[in-house]
Amino acid sequence: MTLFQPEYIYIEKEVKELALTRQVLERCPDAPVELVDSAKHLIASLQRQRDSEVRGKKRLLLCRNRGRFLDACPGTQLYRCCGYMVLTPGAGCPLDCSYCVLQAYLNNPLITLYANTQDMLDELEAAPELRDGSIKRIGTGEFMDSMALDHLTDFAAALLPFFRSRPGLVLELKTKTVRVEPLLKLDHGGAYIISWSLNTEAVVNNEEHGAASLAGRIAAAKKAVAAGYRVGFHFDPMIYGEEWEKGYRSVIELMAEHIPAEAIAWVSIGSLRFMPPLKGIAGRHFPATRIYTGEFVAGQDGKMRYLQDIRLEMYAKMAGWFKDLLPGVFVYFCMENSRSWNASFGYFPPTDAALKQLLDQRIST
Amino acid sequence: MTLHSDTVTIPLTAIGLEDTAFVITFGRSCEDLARAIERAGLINPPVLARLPGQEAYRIVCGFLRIQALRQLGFTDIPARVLQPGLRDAQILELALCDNISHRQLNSVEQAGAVKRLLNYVPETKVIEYWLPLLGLSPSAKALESCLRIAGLEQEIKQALAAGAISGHSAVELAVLSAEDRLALFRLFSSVHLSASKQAEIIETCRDLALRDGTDIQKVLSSEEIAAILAAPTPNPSHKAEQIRSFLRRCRFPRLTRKEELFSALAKILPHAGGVRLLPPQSFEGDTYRLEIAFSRPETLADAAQTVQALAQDARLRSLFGDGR
Repeated sequence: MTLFQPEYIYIEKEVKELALTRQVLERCPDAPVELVDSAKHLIASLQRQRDSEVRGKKRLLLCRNRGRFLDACPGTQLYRCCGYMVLTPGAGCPLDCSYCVLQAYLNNPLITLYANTQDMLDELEAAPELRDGSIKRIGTGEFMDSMALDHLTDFAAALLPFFRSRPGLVLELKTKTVRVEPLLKLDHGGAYIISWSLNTEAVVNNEEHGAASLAGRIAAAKKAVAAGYRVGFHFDPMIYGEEWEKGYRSVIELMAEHIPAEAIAWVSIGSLRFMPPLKGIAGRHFPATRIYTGEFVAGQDGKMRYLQDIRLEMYAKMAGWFKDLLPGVFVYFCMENSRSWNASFGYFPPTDAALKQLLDQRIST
Repeated sequence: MTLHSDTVTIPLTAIGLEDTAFVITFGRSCEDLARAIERAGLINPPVLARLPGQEAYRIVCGFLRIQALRQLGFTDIPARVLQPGLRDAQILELALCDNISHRQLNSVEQAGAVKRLLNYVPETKVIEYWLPLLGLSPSAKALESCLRIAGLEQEIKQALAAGAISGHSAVELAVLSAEDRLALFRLFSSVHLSASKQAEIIETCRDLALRDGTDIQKVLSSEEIAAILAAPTPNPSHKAEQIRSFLRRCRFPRLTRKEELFSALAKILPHAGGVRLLPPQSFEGDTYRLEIAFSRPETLADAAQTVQALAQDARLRSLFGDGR
């Protein structure tokens, strides 16, 4: 896969002298640059333009984040959540997945990096919830791919001193890319878990535009393991389609062939789910995609999910394959209900805190 | 931009009735207007633009009035004539302002206006200035919707202007191939569907065509739909429901099968005494509900017995078989 190089860069005037801005400009010497007074006004004016003209994932915005960088993962009380925390160094992603919720979630069509990196580090230093020594799993992959812009930002290296200084904190770098070499050199001390989002070969090829190949991701994970990292894998979203069983089983076989079970911190499973407007938006962006033609029904949180029988069918198979091929690996659900847990794993964490504890144990073991 | 203040008399033969460059009106008849003119006379003379160097005129405002006057047998009509030298863009703006000053344009008129404005005005100005004047939100989405509607076939525009199909449906139809669009439009013309049901059928048909690798035309030409449409009864509204139901079964085969099984089970389970078993919405989760209707304490007691019998019925356990 090719590394993202913006074709055009907007810079909010007040961040033009910040270190990250200067670094990005040095690394993108050919991109035209436009200084703007206000990122907010720029985004508002782009929203008035036609989608076809602002879409394309080629334009980068460097601006100030005026809100929080760190927050709790926006889960829901109706489905079991794992107590994850989200760190947001930017928003938007150069990869172009047909199922990506950001298509409907973000109102900003630009790939955005927050240049006030020092404010982010200061916020982490000051955050009371990160001071008590307890285990906290934090991820940067909620609103962007954790590594897709790292060749411009060096965020992974920049954040390491803080995470190494706080035992109990773990940063999960969640990605569909394969540029792991800079991470291999880091003295991470177990503070980082690198995770790959995995899917069937068909889904990777047809729905995850611009992302690395499945084999490439597994190869990158293998390198990370060799460098002493623990790794995670996320089968989310699972997509029910032709030959889905063969497809997902093949992925687990590939994992089992290359990654030792003890190096796997966790594996999450979740099926495709989306707020209703995403279907129309994604339909315009990806008119040929068939992933939204499954039997989706409104879940208890208003999101569309596969009919529960279909989810149970997929989950039961996945649980069985992991048991057979990668025994001992901890597999959990993202945003599922008691019926799915009980049917697939034979138990249901009684509270969100109980699920969090199960995942935290994966870090301390 | 000013008008000559005097009203002059122009022969109808000098007016280009086929020239619709500035005509905003769509889907309106001149019958009522003709009756009004017959009764009260022409209150506001139409506005014309003279073609350079000719004794010929283009209609700027008052297309319907001129049609009505013609229908009433006038050969010469009173009109105001624009000063010479105006550009087409200025004339179009004047025609639009005249229309929006006294009425709400319908969706087809709005769409036609936007399409023509884009010939002269930058897109951002159309969005920010003209769309609100036309009663639309100043957004790229509204502009795109207008362009889609403007590109529709005349018969679909007529149906939209007449309210037979909704604006949302028209926009959704516009993105389909002509064959698929007309197949859906023919269906909407033959059965009665509300705007939301039209939208549902468009979405369902699109999903089915995409899922099955076919096209909407083929989905709608199924034997089942043909049989429903050809049957002498029921009335078009009921036929619409039958078609919706058929399409839903195709689109959600497992869900509808589950609904049918539950419905069959609910019928044979104990259900006397006003007790009704309700499944979780879309069978999501495993929480079923019981509804008990009673009007007197004795009927509540009957219901309690029914509930007890229900709880002990082995067939009820089949509902939970896959989850426990």
